[in-house]
Amino acid sequence: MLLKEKAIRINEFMYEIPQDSDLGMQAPVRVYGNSAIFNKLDKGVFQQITNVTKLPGLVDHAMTMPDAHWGYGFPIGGVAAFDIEEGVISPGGIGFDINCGMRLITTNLTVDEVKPKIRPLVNTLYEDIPTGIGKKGPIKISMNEFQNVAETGSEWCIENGYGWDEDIERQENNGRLVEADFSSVSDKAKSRGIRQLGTLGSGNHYCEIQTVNQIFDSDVAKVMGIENKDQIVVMVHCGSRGFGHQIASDYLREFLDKMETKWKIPIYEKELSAAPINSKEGENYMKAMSCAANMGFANRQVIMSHVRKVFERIFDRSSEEMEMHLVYDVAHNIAKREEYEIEGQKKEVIVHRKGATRSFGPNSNEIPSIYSKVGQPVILGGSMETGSYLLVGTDTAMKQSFGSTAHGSGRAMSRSKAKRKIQGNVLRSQMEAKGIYVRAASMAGLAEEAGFAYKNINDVVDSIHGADLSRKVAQLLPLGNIKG
Amino acid sequence: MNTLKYRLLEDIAIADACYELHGSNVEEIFQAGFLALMETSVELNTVKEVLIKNVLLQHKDLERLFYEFLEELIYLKDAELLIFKNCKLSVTKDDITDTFKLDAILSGQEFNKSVSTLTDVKAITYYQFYIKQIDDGWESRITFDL
Repeated sequence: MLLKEKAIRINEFMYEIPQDSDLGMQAPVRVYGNSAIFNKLDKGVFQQITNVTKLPGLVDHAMTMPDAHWGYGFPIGGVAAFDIEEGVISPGGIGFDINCGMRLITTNLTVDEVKPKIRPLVNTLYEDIPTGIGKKGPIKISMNEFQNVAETGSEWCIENGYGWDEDIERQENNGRLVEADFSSVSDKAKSRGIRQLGTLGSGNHYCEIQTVNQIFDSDVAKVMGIENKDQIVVMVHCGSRGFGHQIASDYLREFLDKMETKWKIPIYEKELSAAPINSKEGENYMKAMSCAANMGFANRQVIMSHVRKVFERIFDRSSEEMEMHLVYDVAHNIAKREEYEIEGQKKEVIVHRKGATRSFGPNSNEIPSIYSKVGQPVILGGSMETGSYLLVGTDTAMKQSFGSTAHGSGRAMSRSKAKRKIQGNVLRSQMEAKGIYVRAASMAGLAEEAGFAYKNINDVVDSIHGADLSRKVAQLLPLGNIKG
Repeated sequence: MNTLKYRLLEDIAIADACYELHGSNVEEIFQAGFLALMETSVELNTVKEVLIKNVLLQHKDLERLFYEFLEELIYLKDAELLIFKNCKLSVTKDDITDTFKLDAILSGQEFNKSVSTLTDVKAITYYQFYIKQIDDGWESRITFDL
């Protein structure tokens, strides 16, 4: 029997594969998604998340989010927590692009003000924010300065004039994982990353001008700075660039070389390499991963700083006058030390979120005071045609999913099929006809990101809302987009 | 270069790129991997050959040597902003040290506006990664994270 066939429907938005010690599973698997989502999940998702349940020290259960698809090690959309004494840390549970994440910025502008200027706005963003392969960042820094960036993240940015003081509080972990230690990072990773601060990257990374299309919860929306339909916001999606990619590769390989012989951890899949959290190697990876996470925060902070400056030039007003506040910055490829109540006792665990977003509910100690009554903002990026969502974290997520929810829509079609279906310049024209102006470094890359290549984000959002892992606050539609 | 073969396995790694490589000898596999990586990244006909880079690597394990070669190309893209059009290489075995040695001469340029870019390769993965001798030559599978 296939693993998928073993899944039992628990409710409209959740299935469970029971623990099966014959398969080596130490815990059950929860699969979040409505039936439309579940039926289309690829078999790799089930195999990979089942492998995760075989790793030492797993706490409670492993799970997949509604946007899950096959990945490396963990599936994309995979979440699992491990005991800090007996558990493991796995680079495959975080991803190559450590702290790939999302950032949402509000404005007090409306679509009527911005639409007439969308072309110069997007063109100027495209000129100012390096996108695509082989681009240097706008900030030249020494290796000493890069160490500060890697160890202090967004704090370095604010100290050096890239942002407002209030930005710090409006980021997960205040834009800085304090465990970061530059000495745990290879020279190769340092060399890959030093020129990339403030670059967008390519693939599905973007900076998008959006309009608020629908508000589902006006009270929560107001707290987050979303006041009206047709309000203009800006979303940024990118990560830690080559710095994080190399750190991931370095430690994946180091753990792979040692896991069977040194720690007696079987290799179920090479990308699911792991080390005990309390080993020297595991600790070093946490420190290096934290450096990469800080680069991700800093990268998005610098890009946001440039977004504010571009808006100032185009609209001839200060970004303060335009109320360009950061709503929040979330990571969706990361591992964090967090505390949860498990069987009546407080337990510290390492939560892996691979293509999954934190979704902390009200009164959580770790969210900004401005959001303590409502819960943290959760930002889900859709495709550049279908739009994105702002949601809010919940108590249910804290109790059921280690404070986690989905991260986006997930791919449904290969890049090559998408490129065969449509040419980039044709897609761009079609999008313009629909009122979305795009600048892309690569037309082939643009075609790969066509809306039809992604799952229906509404199914993903309806599933996480239905499961109460996060609740809908607003739907955001694209007006303009830059990508690599 | 005409004998080099690689083909995209479309239904594997739909968010990324998985290639099957064929060659009559191990050097052709390494060159096919080089070509697959470069042609995933850029329109190769827009790359000029204005500089040379020599890559020397060695490892006891041939598979690991191939992995490190591909990783080095990705590293050079980000650390030195280099993209390559051609590659002449040799892979030899030192029987005394039981080590495989790669000597690759890469020709290309620094990225500039005249290079037409496609997709950024973040990493070479271990997913279904192998290199092996078969009846009529050599075969390999590589998957890039994009």
